[in-house]
Amino acid sequence: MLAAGSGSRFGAEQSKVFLPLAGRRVFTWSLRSFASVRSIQRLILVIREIDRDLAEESLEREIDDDTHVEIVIGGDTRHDSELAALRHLAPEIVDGSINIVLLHDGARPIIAPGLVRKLIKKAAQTGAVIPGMVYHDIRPISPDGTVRMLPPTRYVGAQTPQVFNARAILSAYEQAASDQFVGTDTMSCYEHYHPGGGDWIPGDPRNLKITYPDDLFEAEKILRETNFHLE
Amino acid sequence: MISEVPRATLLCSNCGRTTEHRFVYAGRILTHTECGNCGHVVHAQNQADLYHEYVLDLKQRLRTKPRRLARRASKHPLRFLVALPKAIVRQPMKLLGEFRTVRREERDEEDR
Repeated sequence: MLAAGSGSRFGAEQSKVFLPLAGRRVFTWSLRSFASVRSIQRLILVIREIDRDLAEESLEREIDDDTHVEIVIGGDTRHDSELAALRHLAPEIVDGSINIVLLHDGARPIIAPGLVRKLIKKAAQTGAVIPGMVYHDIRPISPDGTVRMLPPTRYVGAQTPQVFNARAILSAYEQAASDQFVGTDTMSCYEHYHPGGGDWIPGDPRNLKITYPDDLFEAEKILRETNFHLE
Repeated sequence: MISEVPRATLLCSNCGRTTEHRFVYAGRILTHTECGNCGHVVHAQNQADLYHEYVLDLKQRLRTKPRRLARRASKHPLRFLVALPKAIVRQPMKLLGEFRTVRREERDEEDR
């Protein structure tokens, strides 16, 4: 889980993943969902060093005692944080004891364990998969600023967790590090080094990313509607 | 401890800038947010039911408090004992502050 974004160009204030949401921090809601998926054996939380005390305190209060979460310090960018997490797992990835890796944005608190299980199953078959939302009303804008009304392609809005064959994503990120390539998200880096690309399955409209203040209200509402128990 | 008025950077739907926002809670319920740049305030949609919701949530908190305290005490007995007197003294003020926030939000709702 990536929670190392400062959420600020100054880097001083609290990251949005640590905001309270219905009695827990934003990021611990999704950590709890992942912890409930039996095939997930290790949980890694990638944070800034400055957030370590807060992260440890939140984990202690909000995550069950039998769930162990490892903390890894991330980098300056999302890409660097992903690389740090993958390198943390590298020995087990190389020896084959970890075969699937899920990368999730800590600012997406509403993740249903059922979707996570589907993604893992699909990634085991195809090597890479993301949850996506189809938006029929998206139109590309041409370089001169006009809207093109002939979109022959369907677009999906990429959500997380993005799920990959562990060796393939580790090798892509190591190669990207030596090439100094930075993708826009995890799948874009995977795709750069595995031109066959990845797959997608329908995501969940509730899997929103906390971007605007309204998103926090919406997430609170969704949690309340599910009686704070997603499936 | 969750601070009552945390701040974090979000994108403001009014001024379109990514700026620091204030987040005001009554207990566990987010009551409103305020953009640090343009002052745009976003309220919870169910503001009219805030008091009712707050009381329900408070009851739930009180019900689960003994279990949460016991968990903390068993995990770190010494730390728990050291922090306990301060927590006991702080609790009434904290609850009073929450009630005040709920009342203020209700008044704001009536004014809107």
